Amino acid sequence: MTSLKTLQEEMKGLVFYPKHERSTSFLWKDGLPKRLDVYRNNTRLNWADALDQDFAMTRRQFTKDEWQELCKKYFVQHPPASWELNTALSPFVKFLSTQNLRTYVKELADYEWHDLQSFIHRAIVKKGTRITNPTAMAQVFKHQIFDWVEKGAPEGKPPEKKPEVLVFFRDSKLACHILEADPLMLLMMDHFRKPGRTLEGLETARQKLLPQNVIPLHRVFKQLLLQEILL
Amino acid sequence: MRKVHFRELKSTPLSIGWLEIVPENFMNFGGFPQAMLDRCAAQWPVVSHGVNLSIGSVDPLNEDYLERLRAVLQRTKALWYSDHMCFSSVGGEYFHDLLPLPFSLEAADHVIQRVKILKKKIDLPFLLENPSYYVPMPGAEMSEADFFNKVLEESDCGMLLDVNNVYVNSKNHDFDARQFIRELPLHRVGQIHMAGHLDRGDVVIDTHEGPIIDPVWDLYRFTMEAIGRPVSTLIEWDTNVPLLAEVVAEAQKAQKIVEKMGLYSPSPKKVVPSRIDAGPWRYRKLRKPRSALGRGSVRGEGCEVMPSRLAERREAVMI
Repeated sequence: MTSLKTLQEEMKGLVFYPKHERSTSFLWKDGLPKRLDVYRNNTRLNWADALDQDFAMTRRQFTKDEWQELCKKYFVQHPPASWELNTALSPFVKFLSTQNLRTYVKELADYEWHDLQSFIHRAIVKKGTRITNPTAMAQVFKHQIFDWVEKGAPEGKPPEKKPEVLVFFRDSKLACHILEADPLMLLMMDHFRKPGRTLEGLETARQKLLPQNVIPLHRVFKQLLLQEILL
Repeated sequence: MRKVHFRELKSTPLSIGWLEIVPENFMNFGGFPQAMLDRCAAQWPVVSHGVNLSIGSVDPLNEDYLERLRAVLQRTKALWYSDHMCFSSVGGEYFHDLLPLPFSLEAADHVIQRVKILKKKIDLPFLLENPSYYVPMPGAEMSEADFFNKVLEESDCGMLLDVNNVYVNSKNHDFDARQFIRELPLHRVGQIHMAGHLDRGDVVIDTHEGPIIDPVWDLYRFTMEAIGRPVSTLIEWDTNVPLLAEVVAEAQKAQKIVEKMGLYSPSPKKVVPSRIDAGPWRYRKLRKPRSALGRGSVRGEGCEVMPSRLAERREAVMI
């Protein structure tokens, strides 16, 4: 008799996205039951729907067939390794980087992923702690992704190739923001990641790293507090 | 309650006794989903209905999952928690669907041992639900009802009886739904699920969509008579979810049936639940990027409230 372990592994082989669809199994000697398709469809559609929704704008850069092919290729390599389906999609951006795609499409996926991460980040954002917002993540893009997304990421009009650094974060009222960052802002975010840091300590770091920058630190500090990048 | 009901829930005049949450929708999330959960848990009693415990899997119980589940149960002061008699993961990878177990001695003993472990780890009543299934797994050594009796009795565990699933299975596998219900350990039923389904002709699929059809209501009446005591009943509506009032009306239908039978409705701490998940619903303030220093390329002033242009996020629930 087939052991429980063998049965479950066989079901996985039959239901997960395969490289090649199987039409036989030792579990059913008279051929696969037709209703096995319910599990195949449910499982694969659930995965694909999650990818569609988490990367909705990225998806629109492909034809339906191209996207389906990409989905299949992805899930063959990366079946969900988490009980939480959004989390299970975390290898997708890295997977795209291995594909022969336009750079800005890969960057768009990264942008969407960072946006999601700031929305669901588990940290509590509490004002008055005088540290960097724990949900804040900076990311460098080679293209002007933000403006392009604001225009709906039109397929025929790629974003301008010009670097931008964006900071994704969630404020204390649970709203998510995306801001353009500059070196001093990034330095300040890094400096205040640890509690107990002061502006005086930052000045020393700035003189080393950004010797040309003479903007009053307190002014920047105040603005970042207002924006809740610093708390 | 589904995410589309959150706005309604904030100020609903509807009488809602309690809520059922899908814990996976909160276990990994902070921010808006967490805030929504806290708000609802402060207002209503909560029970938890999971989808990825994978109690029947040969994988070890996922400790990270259990830790987070326990945290959500504590945070919401959940009255009880439940999941499905199935497996949903193999080799650390997840179907995000509910796969049936063979009704074998090995599977029964495996689940019994895991429920015993679970009960030591989480000190709350635990219920196992009868899932809908489309393909009987080979290797059955007993009937489904006998399988449930064995597992629930030997692990001393409660049952979440999904009446719609019994109906769906009886159609797909051609058995007498009433006889099946009679054979279940009804004294262990702590909650009931009702739902709509899709009859495709060649197969009936448990879609949790649409109003409940009369034959399922008839089976509900039969079930309540067989149980002979009030049991909290939840209406599951997961696809093309209507306004909250319509879901509550379905729940009230169940309530009326119970009352008509002379069984008093459960107390507010045990009442008919709705279903809640946080998922992706959100409106957010999207501020156009600008230099923090007020220099360089300032590309927009102030902020505006708008629906996210990015995708709504999918919740974990796949049933």
